[in-house]
Amino acid sequence: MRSRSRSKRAVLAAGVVVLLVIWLRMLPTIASSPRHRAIGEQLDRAGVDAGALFYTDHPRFWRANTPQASPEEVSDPPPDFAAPALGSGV
Amino acid sequence: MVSDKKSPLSEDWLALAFGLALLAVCFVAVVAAGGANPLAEWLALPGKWSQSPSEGLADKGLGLAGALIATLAAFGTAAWVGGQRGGQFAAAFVGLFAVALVAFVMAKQTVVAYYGLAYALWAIVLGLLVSNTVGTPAWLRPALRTELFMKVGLVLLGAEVLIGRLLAFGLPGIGIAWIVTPIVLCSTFWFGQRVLRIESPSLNMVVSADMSVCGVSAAIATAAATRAKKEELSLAISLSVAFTVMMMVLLPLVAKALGLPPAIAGAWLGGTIDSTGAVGAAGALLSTDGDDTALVAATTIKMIQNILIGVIAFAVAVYWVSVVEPGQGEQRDKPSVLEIWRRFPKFILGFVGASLVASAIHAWHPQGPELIDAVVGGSTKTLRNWCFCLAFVSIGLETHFRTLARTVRGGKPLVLYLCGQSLNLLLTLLMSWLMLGVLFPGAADAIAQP
Repeated sequence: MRSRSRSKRAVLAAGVVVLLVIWLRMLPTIASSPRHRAIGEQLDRAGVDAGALFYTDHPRFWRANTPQASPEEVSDPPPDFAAPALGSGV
Repeated sequence: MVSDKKSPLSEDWLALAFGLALLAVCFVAVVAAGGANPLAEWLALPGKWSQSPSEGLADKGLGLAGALIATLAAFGTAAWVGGQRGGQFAAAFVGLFAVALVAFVMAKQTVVAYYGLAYALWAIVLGLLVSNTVGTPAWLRPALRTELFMKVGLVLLGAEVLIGRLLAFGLPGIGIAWIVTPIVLCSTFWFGQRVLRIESPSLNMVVSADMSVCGVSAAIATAAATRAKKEELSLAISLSVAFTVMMMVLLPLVAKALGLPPAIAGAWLGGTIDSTGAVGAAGALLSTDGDDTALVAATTIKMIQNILIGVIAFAVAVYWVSVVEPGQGEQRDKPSVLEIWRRFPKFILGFVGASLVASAIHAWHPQGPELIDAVVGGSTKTLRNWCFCLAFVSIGLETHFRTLARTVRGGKPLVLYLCGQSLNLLLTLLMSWLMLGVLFPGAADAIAQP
C-alpha cells in the first residue's frame, strides 16, 4: 500500500520535473529565436493577444482608458492600424 | 454541471447574485472615481514572459494579492451563504488560487501564448496531474465549486458582450459570423444526435458550440446552460485546443496556396479557427508590411462571433429545458411554462442582463464607451479570467482519466468535430467569398483604413 502511494508521488514529481524543464529551459530557448521574437513584436504592434479567450482580451478591441492598467494591457494600436469603429457606440 | 452537491437552483441564484454584485461594485467604483477605474491596480493577472516567470510577475504583487482577496471575499461569502465553514473554505481557496496562478504563468509564456494554448488547458492539466497521481487532497475539496466559479465568470463576461459591436464589419460581418455560425452549430448538433447517435446531448452541444462559435468561451457558456458533465467540458476544450494549433498553422498556408485575397482569407480564418487569440496570430501570418487587412478581417469576424455567445447561451438554455430534458424523462409531455422556468438556468438571466445593460450604456450614455471600457478593462475582465481559471483547476482536480476515457470511447466526439469543422470551413469560405468578393468587395478595405 505504502509503495503504491510512493509510486504515485514519484509520478507526480516526474510530471512536475517535466513541466519545469519544458517551461524553464525549452520554451525560453524557442522564445529567444529571432523568428519568434519578430512574430511577438508583430502581434504586440497589432494589439493582438494570441492567448485571448474573448475579444476584449485583445488590446486592440478596447480603448483601456484606465491609467492604472498595465502597459501591456493598454498598449494602443499604432496609428496605421485603426480599430474598426469601436468604442463609438455603434 | 451535474456533479456539484448543491441544488442547481441555489447555485444558479448564488452565481447570479454574486456576479451582478461584483459588476455593480466595479461600476460604482468607476463612477465614483469620475471615469478612471480605481480598482485596476488592485486586480491583476500574471503578465507575459519570455525567459523567466519573474518577468510576468514583476510589479504584479499588489494586483495578484488584490485578486486573491477579492475572489476569496466573494466566493467565501457565497460559500458561507451556502452553509460551508469559512475557515476550511478559505484555506482550500488559497491553495486552489495558487494552482490557478501557476496555470496563468504557464499560459503567459510567449511561445505557449502564441500557439493559443490558453490557461484553460493548463489549469485542467495541473488539476488532472494532481487528481490522477496522489489524488486531490481532502483539505482542498471545500473550495472545488466549479459551477459557481464558472457561472459567476459568465455573468461577468456578460458585460463584455456588447451588442453594438456586431455592426463593426457591417453586413458582411453579420453574414459570415451570424448566418454561417448558427447553421453550422445546428447542423453539427443534428448530425451528432441523428447520425452519430452520441449518447450525451450535452457533450454533443458543447463540442458543436466550441467548434462553431468561439472555442473555450462558447464551451463554458453552453456547458453551463446544458449542465454538461465536467469531463465533457474537458474533452471539448482539449479537442478545440488541439485543432486550434493545427488550424492556425495550416489555414494561412492553405489560404496562400488558394491565392485568396487578404480580406476573404482573414474572414475565413476568423470564422473557422476556434480560439479568439489564435485567430489573431493566424491573421498576422497573412499580413504583410503595411497591409494588415487579413488580420483586421480575422479578428473582427471573431469578435462578432464572440458577441453571438449571448444569444447562443440563451437559446440553448431554453431549448434544453423545453425540449431536450423533457425528452429524456419517462413522461414525454410538453413541459408547462412554469416547469420551463423552474428548470431554466437562472444565471443566464444575469449573463444576458449584464450584456443588455452594458450594451445600452455603451451605445446611449454620453460617456458610455469610456465607462464600459474602464469597468471591463480595469476590473471585471480580470475577475472573469480568475473565475474561469479557478473553475478549470477544479474540473481537473475532480476528473479522473477513467471517466475521461469513457467519454472519448468510440471516437464519436472526434468524428463530430471533424465533420462539423469541415462544414464550417466550406460554408465560411463560401460566405466570405460571397460577402467580400462579390457583394461588398470594399468592406474589408474600409475597416482597415486608419
